[in-house]
Amino acid sequence: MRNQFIGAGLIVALLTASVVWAEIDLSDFDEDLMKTMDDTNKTLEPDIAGKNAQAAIEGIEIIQQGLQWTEEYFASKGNAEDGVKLAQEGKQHAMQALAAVNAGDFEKAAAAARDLTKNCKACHEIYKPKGL
Amino acid sequence: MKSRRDILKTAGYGLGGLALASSLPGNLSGFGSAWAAELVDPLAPKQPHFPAKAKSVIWLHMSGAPSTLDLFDYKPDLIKLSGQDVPPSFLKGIKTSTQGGVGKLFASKREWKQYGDSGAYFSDLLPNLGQHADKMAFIRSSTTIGATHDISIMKLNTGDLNPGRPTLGAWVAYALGSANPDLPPYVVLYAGKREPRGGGVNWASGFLPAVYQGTAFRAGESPILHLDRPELISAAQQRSNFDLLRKLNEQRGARYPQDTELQARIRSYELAYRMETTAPEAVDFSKETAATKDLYGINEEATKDYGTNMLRARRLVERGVRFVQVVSGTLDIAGDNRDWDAHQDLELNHAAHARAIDKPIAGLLADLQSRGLLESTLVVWTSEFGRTSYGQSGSGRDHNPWGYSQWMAGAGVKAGTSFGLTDEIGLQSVGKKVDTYDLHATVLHLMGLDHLKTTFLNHGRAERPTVVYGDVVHELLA
Repeated sequence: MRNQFIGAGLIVALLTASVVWAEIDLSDFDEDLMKTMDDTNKTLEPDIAGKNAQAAIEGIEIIQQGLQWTEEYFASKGNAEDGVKLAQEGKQHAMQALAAVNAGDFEKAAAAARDLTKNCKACHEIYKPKGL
Repeated sequence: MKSRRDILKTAGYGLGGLALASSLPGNLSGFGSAWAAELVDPLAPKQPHFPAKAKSVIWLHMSGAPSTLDLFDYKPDLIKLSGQDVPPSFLKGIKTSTQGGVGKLFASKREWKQYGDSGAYFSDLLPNLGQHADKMAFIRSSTTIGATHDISIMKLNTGDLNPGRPTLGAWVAYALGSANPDLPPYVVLYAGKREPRGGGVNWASGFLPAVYQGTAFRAGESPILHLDRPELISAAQQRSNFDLLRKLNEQRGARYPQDTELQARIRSYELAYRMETTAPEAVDFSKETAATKDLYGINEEATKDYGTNMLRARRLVERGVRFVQVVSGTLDIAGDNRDWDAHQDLELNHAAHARAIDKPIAGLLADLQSRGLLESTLVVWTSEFGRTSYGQSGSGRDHNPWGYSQWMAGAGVKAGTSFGLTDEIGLQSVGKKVDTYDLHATVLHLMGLDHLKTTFLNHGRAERPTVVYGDVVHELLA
């Protein structure tokens, strides 16, 4: 019974999780960078919604650089295709946000910033930051 | 505890308070002249973004984090596997921070029963609440961040892990104003021997004007500190004093019509004066029938304190208070004063706490329904996190932010349903998870507010209640 149950549990875990849990060593990830990205992301949408274009652009640039580093980090790790893909998608959202801010379309930029946040969250579901 | 002095100073309608606050770091620097006119009466009723289902919210915070595995989330496999190690597959993706490590799977001595047409399971700890199963929409896949109470309580109420953001009640008060000019729009009720864990930050207005913070009501006949008229001053003398003050202020106000702070100050004196009558009346049960008091368990020692707060909550929403935040208290358990935080002696702890809240909350739901108030009142049963499927100390459970149950009932809620689920042992949520931000977005939606459009300009940033997160859980809505 126990074996059956464990098997069933595993199947449920595989079916319900959209990705397989990451099991790579992330201890060399630059946590300061991640914290900077998280902090910046938490002010990005409010800056955009406040039509604070200059601050929003600066925030997007920080996040773009961080995502570039993250993409390269996961690529160099190997066996972390999800991380690479999510970093690339994040960069796309950041680019969309930047283009919208530059065009003065703050509503569109805010929507892109929310997509970026969801992208961050999706990545953290797989690659957990410390403490979670 | 908020005193009348505080009300005059901050709720001060507080433009005096605002002026001061705006000079402080991190506070209200975005407060500009465009806001001033609107804040002449910052509590004036405001229209929601779309028609609201709920006029009021009763936010029932079970402080200390109950084990919903022992209340609502029936897991037969946990019972079968009790005493065994947690299968590794269930621990994937989480970092257990238990000081004593992950214990063996733990099942308490519960009996389970299905209630109502929905067939929702309730344990034998909640026989009265079970009778209201068909009023509830369960959130079975609740998740949050953090593993310490203070931090997670702050996230539950403010959406952030650091102090400084407004609480959900403050956002509601800010966005909708007051439905009753004689009472605060946001009231906090708590019982027990000490102030709730985390303290006033959990009903603070954060970067919103102080007028929107929660007003804590004390136990007893006079709910607000220093609200009573001083003994040596007669009612007539006090009224006369206020009239003179008002006259002088109005004369000065006429000379400086742009001085909105003065206009607000005049109103604050008048509100405090009116509240000398209205606040005690709101908590005066003398006109409640014996049957009503029985319904809430007010005549029983075990349920008296929480039942009193439940009846107060009903009376407050009846009088138009927008947001009533009720924090469960502590009880004497095994020689200690404890909240729901059962790291050990879960059997004793949850038996006592469940008994304290079961009948009163059931009474509240029944009373709201019989008075036609449940249609316009949203009741939310919530906690900072849940508790683990594995045991701790041999008789308790540790903190679990990965999967636990909460429920909503009343206005606009898809009654008799469940959303989400946890795994077979109740340790982690699986599928779509509901974080505190999602809960906040859903509550605001039921109040007629779009959480993305409910904003306040702080430091040039348009902040919203759900920080940069949150999705309305439409599956919970009728």
